[in-house]
Amino acid sequence: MSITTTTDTLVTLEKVTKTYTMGEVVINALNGIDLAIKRGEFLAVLGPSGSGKTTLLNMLGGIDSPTSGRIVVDGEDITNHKRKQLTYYRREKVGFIFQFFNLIPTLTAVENVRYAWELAARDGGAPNTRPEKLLEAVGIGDRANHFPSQMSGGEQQRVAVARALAKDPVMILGDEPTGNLDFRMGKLVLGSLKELNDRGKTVVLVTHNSPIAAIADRVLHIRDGVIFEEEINEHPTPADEIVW
Amino acid sequence: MKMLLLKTWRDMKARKGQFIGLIILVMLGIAIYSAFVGAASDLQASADRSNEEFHLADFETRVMAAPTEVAGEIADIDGVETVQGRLIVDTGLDMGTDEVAIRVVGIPADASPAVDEVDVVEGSYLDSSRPKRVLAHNGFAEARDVQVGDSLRVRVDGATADVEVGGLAQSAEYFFLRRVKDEMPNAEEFGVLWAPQETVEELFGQPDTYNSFAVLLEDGADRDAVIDEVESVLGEYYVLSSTTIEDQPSNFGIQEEIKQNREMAGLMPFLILAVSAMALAIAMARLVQSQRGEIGLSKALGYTDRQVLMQYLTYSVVVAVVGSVLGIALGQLSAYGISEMYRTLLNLPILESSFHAEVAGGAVLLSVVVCLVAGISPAVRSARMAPAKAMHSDPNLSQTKGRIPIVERLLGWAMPRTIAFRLPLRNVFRSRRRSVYTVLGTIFALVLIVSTWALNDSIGYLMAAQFEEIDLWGAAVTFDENIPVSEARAAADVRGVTDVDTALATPVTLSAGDEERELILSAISPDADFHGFEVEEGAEVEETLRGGGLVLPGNLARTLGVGVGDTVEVASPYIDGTIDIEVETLSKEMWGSPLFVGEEVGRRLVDSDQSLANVAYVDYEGVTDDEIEKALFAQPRVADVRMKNAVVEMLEGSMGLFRAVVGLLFVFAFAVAFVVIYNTFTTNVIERTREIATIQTIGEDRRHMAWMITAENLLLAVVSVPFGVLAGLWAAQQMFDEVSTEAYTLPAYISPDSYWLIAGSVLAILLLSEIPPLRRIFRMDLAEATKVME
Repeated sequence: MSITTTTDTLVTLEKVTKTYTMGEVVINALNGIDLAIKRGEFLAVLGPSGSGKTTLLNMLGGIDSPTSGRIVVDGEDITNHKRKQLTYYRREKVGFIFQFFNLIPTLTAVENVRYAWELAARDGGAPNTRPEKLLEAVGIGDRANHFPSQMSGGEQQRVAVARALAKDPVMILGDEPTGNLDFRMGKLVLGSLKELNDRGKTVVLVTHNSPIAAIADRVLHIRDGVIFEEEINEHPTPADEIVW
Repeated sequence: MKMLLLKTWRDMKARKGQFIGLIILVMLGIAIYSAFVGAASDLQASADRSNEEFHLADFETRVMAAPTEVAGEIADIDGVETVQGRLIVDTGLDMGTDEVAIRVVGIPADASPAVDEVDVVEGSYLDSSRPKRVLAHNGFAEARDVQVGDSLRVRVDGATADVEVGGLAQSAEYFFLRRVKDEMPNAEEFGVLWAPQETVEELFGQPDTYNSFAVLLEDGADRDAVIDEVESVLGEYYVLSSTTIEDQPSNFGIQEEIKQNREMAGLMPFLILAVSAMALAIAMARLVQSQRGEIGLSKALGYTDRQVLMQYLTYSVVVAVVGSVLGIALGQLSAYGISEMYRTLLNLPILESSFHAEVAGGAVLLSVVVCLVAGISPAVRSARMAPAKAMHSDPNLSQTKGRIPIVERLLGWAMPRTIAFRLPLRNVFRSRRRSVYTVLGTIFALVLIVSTWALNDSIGYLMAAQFEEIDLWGAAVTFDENIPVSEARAAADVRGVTDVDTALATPVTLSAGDEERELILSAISPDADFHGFEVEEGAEVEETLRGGGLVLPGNLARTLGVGVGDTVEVASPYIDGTIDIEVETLSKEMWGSPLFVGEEVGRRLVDSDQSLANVAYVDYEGVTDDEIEKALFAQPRVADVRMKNAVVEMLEGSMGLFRAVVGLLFVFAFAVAFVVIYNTFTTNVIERTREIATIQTIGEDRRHMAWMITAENLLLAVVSVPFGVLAGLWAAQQMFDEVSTEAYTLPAYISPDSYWLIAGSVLAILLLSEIPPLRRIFRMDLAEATKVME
């Protein structure tokens, strides 16, 4: 697949490979990926387990590095970043949403969000939107002072969405964010992500569930570390209409 | 079961840092145990063989003076195998720059004595054709650089007589070079010369005289009965004492060292093994907790409770066996080193070193029992888990219940609001179990450090108390016999002396009920101030001395079972029968068991109308130690001069080995403390892998991560330190109570400076212990770690 970059391009991947060695077995998790993601795009990466979709997301998020190739995000070439540079990259440019929410259990909802907000504020001006407002924006303002153990899965995942937003990142990465939620809660979270995208945030969503991918503007089908199909979705499905 | 064992092996590999840590803990405990027990056994064997080969007397009877032919009468007593009569004289040796105390022992000129054999290690034995040739004690010769062929000037009643050193020798009677049981050996200040019996008689003007009879018994002889008969034969010559082999000063000292070594072997390893057991129990409990799902799965697959139980007990057994095997190897090496150090210190000629199978077997058994006890509770808990419940893990429900700790609720207004500050505080309170484990681990580590260091400080404290508050004299002058107090005062009053106190030190037998002790009793003036008294109970000392009562050390009183108001019986060599003295004061003594009475009681004990003295304690100023020592030695009737500064210096010097042993223990304690805290911290990190990875993923940097982990650990350490220090002092006191005897009291003491040292050590351990878990954090595979199920 060839890539075309424009001034709107936020992310560029050029011939990115990732190889793991387990004993004498070499596993090619990513096999020469070329990809461009536009600013404000909602991209879904769809594939079965072991296809390489999470590896791709980890590369974008700076928690893993490619074996070869090049990755540029928001004009910053992160391909050969050291750990410290990647830390600052993640702090400034990426918001993560994990399958298992990954909230800090000793912090309340608002404190979980504030932590990310403080990290962003450490290196410069604090982001404009206060943590409390972010929680209200994802619909759980009334749960601000509750601890994760006092919240449902859906509520926790929305706190995670608010935390991802707290740093005002250029891109939000969701790794099966509905994977541990029931249908109703999953739709609420997808709704939150769609809303963010509507307000201009770039969202990359990894899923193995094709109905969920229907929410995206573009769907990449990945298998054996290769994007074998790209699907432009002219009419993304609204979150409340998705059924899986 | 094979699969479970394979899983156990893989679990060990997965947590190899902690697993190795636990093995090291057991290894250190067992190494100390086998090192000290092994060394004690080796030393005991070495001492026994040395005593046997050198024919150490079964007992020695000392008299004022007896004709030599009486030895034949003693030899004829049933049960006596051999008797060796000697004339022994304590006097001084003019070394040119200073004086030293010397004991001249008369022995046969033609062959080594049959009892208390004298073995020549350099030069040649005595020669009857060269009466002035003597043998010098090898330890003394080394300390004072005396060589074969040197000429020595022996003090003889104020004058000197020259003798020639024909050889250097050793004897079981003086392996541990000292005259009496309470004396610290000091080869710099005291030596032994063996000279032909005839020469000693001639030099000191006591022809055909023995004052010591060393006796070897036949096998199966009734020693007490023989002693009674010997004393009966010697009765008319003033029997001063009969000293059995157990109380023989050199042998007693060696046995005491061995005993203390053995006690150390019982206490310190026990403490370390207790800490190991605790650490193992904590690690096992955490392992079981973290493997709930796998335990549930194993049981769901059909493994029985017993198989699951055995799987986790296998951990304990592997830790115990591997740890003890390594510990035995390390202990054996250390035992040899310790034995050799002690052999050198005790001047033993023979070192019997062997592998002690019984010690090794005991060590393995001990560690297996300790580790099984530690592992049994978590293992049983694992076996009892219901499979469905154990496997149930709902990621929607956070395992940890969040709450704002009371400290933050009360003082939150005064704290920085940043999450990086509050998170460590919350983590301290997030899991009581985890915090309690961490605090306990730190407390145990502190117990080891404090109790070990207390050994060092307490000895320092004991010495300071003895020499600054109790022994309030500069020099102690011993006369060759009891002389009138006025004469003693005059003899001790040389240039530079500012104060003289005299005492009549008499060997006595003190009886109270069934208890009996051979002790030295000093009759002193109520105005004497050479001894600092601290009254534990009863009348003031001055009042007791004036009133004819007895001042008895509290420690001794307790072991004798007497108190203030009780009467004890006292016998001395100078009187027939006993005299009754009422205990009126119990004093607090640190070292030795000195008894004090007034001069009037003293007169009764030596059956004299006038007050006599055989010791003078002097203070001096404006002269050097060497000058005063020389001046005092030159006085008539002076047999010995002990300079307090020299005694203190000698003690400080002799502490080298003790400090080396304490240092070794401290290193062990430090290592154990490190492993305990390292294990605790590492487990703390492992149990929060996903959380820590998430924090890094959202952009936290290394510096702040390190600060948060350090702050959390320091907060827990702050809580642990007071408890740890108190528990350490308590443990030290228990140890010291075990080793304290009538002869000395060892209080558990930590000097103010040492608190800083301990604080520094704990801080160093904490910071060092953090390095591996921090490295683990910084090297985390964030992609994997953010998905770990906890």
